[in-house]
Parts: sequence; C-alpha cells; structure tokens
Amino acid sequence: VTPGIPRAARRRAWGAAGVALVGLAGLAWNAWGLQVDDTARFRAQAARQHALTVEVAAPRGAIVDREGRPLAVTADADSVWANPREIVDVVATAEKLAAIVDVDASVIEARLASDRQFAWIARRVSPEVAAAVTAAGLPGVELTREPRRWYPAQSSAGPVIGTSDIDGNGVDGLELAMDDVLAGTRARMPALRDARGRTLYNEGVVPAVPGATVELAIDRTIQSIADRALGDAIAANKAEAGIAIVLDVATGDVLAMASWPTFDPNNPGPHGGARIRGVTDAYEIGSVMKLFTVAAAVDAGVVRADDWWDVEHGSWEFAGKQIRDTHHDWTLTTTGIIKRSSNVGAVKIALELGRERLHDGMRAFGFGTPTGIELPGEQRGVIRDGRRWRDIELATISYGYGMSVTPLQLVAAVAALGNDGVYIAPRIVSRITDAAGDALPLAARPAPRRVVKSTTAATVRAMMATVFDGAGTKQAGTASSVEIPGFRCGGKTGTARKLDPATRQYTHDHYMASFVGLAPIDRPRLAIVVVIDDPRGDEYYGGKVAGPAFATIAGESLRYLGVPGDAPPP
Amino acid sequence: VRADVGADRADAERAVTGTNGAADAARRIYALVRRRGTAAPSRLAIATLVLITVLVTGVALFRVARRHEIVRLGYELSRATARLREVEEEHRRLELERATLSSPDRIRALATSLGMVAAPPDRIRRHEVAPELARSTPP
Repeated sequence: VTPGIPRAARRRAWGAAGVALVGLAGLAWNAWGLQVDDTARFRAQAARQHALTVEVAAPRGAIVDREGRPLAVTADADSVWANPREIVDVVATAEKLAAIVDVDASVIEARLASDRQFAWIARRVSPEVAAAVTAAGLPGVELTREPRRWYPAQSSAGPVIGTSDIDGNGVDGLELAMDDVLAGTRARMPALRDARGRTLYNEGVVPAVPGATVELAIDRTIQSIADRALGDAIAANKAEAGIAIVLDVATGDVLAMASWPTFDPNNPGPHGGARIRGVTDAYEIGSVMKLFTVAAAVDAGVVRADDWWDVEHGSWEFAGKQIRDTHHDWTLTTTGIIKRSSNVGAVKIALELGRERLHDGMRAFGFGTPTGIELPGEQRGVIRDGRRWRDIELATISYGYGMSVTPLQLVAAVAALGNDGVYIAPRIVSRITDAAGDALPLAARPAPRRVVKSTTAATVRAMMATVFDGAGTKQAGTASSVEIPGFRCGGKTGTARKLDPATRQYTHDHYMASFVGLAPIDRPRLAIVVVIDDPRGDEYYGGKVAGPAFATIAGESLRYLGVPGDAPPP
Repeated sequence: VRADVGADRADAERAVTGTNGAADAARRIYALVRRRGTAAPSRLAIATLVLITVLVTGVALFRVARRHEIVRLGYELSRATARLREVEEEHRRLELERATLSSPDRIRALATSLGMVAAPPDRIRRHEVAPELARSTPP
C-alpha cells in the first residue's frame, strides 16, 4: 500500500478505475461484436456502400474509306431526360419539349406524368436540339451523353455501310457483316466510392478494348461521283432503281458501289427498298453478256474478230422462236456483232461454240458463283448446267436471257477482260486494324485465275472500243451517243425486257437498261457497270439511259485518279 | 527472491532452447529484460524496447503513408481516366467534323456556288517530271 494516500482518495481511484474498466469492457464487447461476431454482415454492407464495378464501354470501331476518311464513326451525342418529380408544370413542359425534340407532346406528357425519378424524352439528339433544350432552361429536364454512330457521308453508300442499333450492334450492310471486329470489348474494373460519391480506382484501371477499324476499298470521292451520276440517271429516266459499281481492274477493289434507292444511316428507320442491289439482286441483264459469249468463242479459237456473219437482216427463226435485232444489218463481223449488239450474230457464234464450252466460259468468268465479297446477302445468280440447255436456251443465253447475274459479278467479269484475262475476286474490305494499329487477318479470298488468254482479252477490248464509234452514221455503235471527253473507253450496252412475275412473260414496256465498260480502254484502270431498273422516260436503251452515267463516272473518276487523258485533237 | 529469479532464468533458457507455447516466449522476453539479481530492467533492455517501438511505429506510419498515397493516386487515376475519355471524345468529334466539312458533295456545292467548273480536257497540260526531281519532291 502506498503510504500517504488517503483512504477516501484510494476508494475514488478504485471506483474510477472500475467505471473505466466497465466502460472499456463495454467497448471491447461492442468491438468484438462489430469485428468478429457480425463481421460478414458488416463487410457485405460496406461493400454495398463503397465497392462498385465500373463498366467502361468500348467504342465501336470506325469504318473508313481507302484514304482513311471516316464513313462511320462513334462519338457521344446528347440525350434528353427528365425527373418527373421535379417538373412543375407537366403540360407546359411537354409542349415546350415537343417543339424542340420533335416528339409528340402527348407522348412526352405521358412520360412526365410518371411518379418515377427518370424518364427519357429523346435520345441521341443533334447538337442543335441539345443547345435548344439547354437554352429552354426547363426545371427537371437534363442532358446526358451517350455514344452514337455517325455517318458523315450521309446517304452516299448508305446501304453498303449499313446501320447499327441503339446498343451498337450491326443491323445491316457492313455494320452487320463486320460486327465481330467492329464491336470492342468492354472493361470491367473494381473501384471504391467515397462519401462524396467520387470514384476511386484503388486497384488500377483496366482499359476497354476499342473495336477494330475497318478500312474499305471504297474511295469516298469516286463513291460520291457514282452516287451523283446514278441519281441523275434515275431522275432523268424516271426509273425505279439503279446500281453503279466501279472496280479497280488491277486489284479487284470496289472503289464505289452506289444503289438507288439509298438511305441516310443517320436516320435509321424503314429503308424504302434501299438495299445493296449490286450483290443482293440478280438480273437477266441482256446484251452485255454477248461480250462473254464472244470472249469464250475467240478463246476457244472458234471465231476471229474479223470473221463475217450473216445476221439475217436482224430477224432469224431458230428453234421455233424469232430472234430479233434492233438494227437490220445483213452481215457483220464479230466485232460488228458487239458494236451493233446483234442477237442473231450472238446466237450464231454460240451455235459454233456449243453448249458446254459456252457454259464453261460463262462459269469461268464467275457467273453462277458468289464472288465472296464481304457484304451480306450476296446472290450467286442462276446459270443452269449447259448439258441440259435446250436449243433455245443456248440461243438466249448467248445474249443474256435465261440466266441471271448480279451487277458485281458482271463488273468483275469485265474487269478480267481489262486485266489481260485474269479474274480477280472483288473485295470491299482492304484492311482491318486493331486499336494498336496492328493488322488483323482478312477473310480468305480466292486466288486470281486466268479465264481467257491475254490475246483474247485484248481482242475483246478492241471490240468494246468500237461501241462508241460512228456517231451519226448508219453503222453507229450502240453507245455512239456517249461521249467521255479526254478519254477513250470501251463498253457494251444492254437492254433487256423484264419478266412479269405474274404472267411469266417478258413485258414490252418494262426494261433493264445497262452499260458495262472499261476506262480507259488502252490501259484499263476502271471497270464500271451501270444498271437502270425500269426507266419510264422517253428512252429505255442501255446506251441512252445508262451510258451517260457511265461517261460521267469514267471521266470524273479517271481525272480524279490522275490518269492522263488522250491528247485533244489538233 | 534469488531462487525465484533462478527459476525464471531457467524458464527463459528453456524457452530459448525450444520449448513451446506463448508462456515460454513471454518468459524468454522477461528473462532478457530483467537485470540479473534485480527487479529493474537493464538499460540495454530499455533501449531494445524503445528501438522495437520506434521500428513498429515507423512501419505502421509507413504503411499508413503508403495507403494514403494509394488513395491519392486512385483519385488521380480517376480524374486522368475521365480526362482521357474527354480528350478521346473530343478527338472523335473533331474527326467527324472534319469528315463532314470535307465531304465531296459539300466541296462540289461550294465550288459550284463560287462559279468553278471542271477544266475541259483541252485546258489540261501534263508535264513529265524527271525521275530525280520526282524523288526529291515532298509528297
């Protein structure tokens, strides 16, 4: 016992110590409860309050043209939302918003009448609409940012580029075909939220993997030229639909693929018949197929360019049917048959060639087989087994009836003639690069193959050049009215009657007008096809309807590419 | 008392030679800090205790400082991530604007409104460039 300390003080000290001990014991008891007994419950509660998983959306990859110019990109857009509980005057707010965001006032009013704290008013609006909403200063109405797909080329190549839905999934066109590589990989990472609601990445950041960039073979400028030329041809001829495709002869690159009707992917909705008609539609294309009949015959050594043929004054009965020409020539050379587009001449050449060799020749040029291009919905066209052809089929197939081809198959086949007889499968995707810029593998592409001898291709090209000759004469080519200033081109016209699906008979007032050609013809750089479906104006011949569009596309594209033109006459 | 001390030391030595249990460990420490034959701890023992305390406190402070640094960097990372997203978004927006402004249709419309026309073929002259000049010409 320590001397000198009064007993009373000692008692108070012991008392205080006791109280402190009891207090500490209470604290210890509570601590035990918090830290040991209920640890799981409190840990879970804390995790709910503080721990969160942050999801970072991966931007969808861009689609760009061959020069890297954007055709489809993802960037944030403003969306308008409201907190209905904060809306003071529902009717007035709905009316003001309706005037800005182009949504019916009654629809907005119904959304604002909810007792929830959140309601979408309009999603992914234009910057102008967002600015107007901000300027209106409506209580309870806010803006938030959401990713949106933008298509700066608007309706140019719209069906080819396609659309993606509100969740960023491809719906049609290349957006659908390349969805696997365009879609990125979202990042999910653990994080903490502090008392002020700030996010704390205590375990680092996991970056989202953006989608790959798809570089197309399309050239935006040539696409624009093709779109405009096709649109003009459609308007001038009051046509229902049309296609224009431009191919690089040496590489098979699709430089442009225009379709009419088209649509602007920035305004998704019903497309009104817009589709990638260059691959999804197969046509009985008519006289342009004479090129391949003649090419097969020349390659087989059956005919020569300067052989003379009796073309029966443009009318000849064969296999119980009357074969008719537009012109009434008595005799024509093989070249003349192409120049004047003689059906009788083509039938006689096909008879010399025979069923199997004509069939094999057509198949060698790729007809009846999908090209394998990276677009959805490609048709293979129809060409029956040559051994089963009846006589009349042999005859009609020689000038493009009784078989169907897609415009892409047609232009690829003509490109083979321009490429010295070597067929190169067309492609529209030229490169895919990931976010780091590394190239990803492309879909397998058939190897180039020789379809006719180089000399055969040169012979047919010389024939194609004559189609533009003889303007104003009795021996004018079928495209003599078509002029391509500064360039010498080659081509072939086609005018086919359409089959009435109801009667299964060829109509006399509905046509497919087409033009396919090479530009320039001496050293072909471009293969171009223009198909106009059902022209309803004054003209319906391929040379008159599709020819001018071909001329515009060829002339402007060659100049854009810096191809030297022919020297003007002195 | 000496006998007790002797017994304590024996216990401590047993602890050193490997007997088990927390009691043995405590006795070992006790044996170290007790001066032989007295109840007061030695200066060496006090110094050791102070050193251990300082070390433990230092480690604890270091850990707290590190933890604070992690939190600070976490906030900084959060801000940097948000900023990166903003910059990337701005970049995408500007690319989009550039693509829209340079669209061929727009350029054509502007050129037409300014009275420009495509040059006819007879107004175009081509000049061959010597290969060595072509090589030295910047793209």
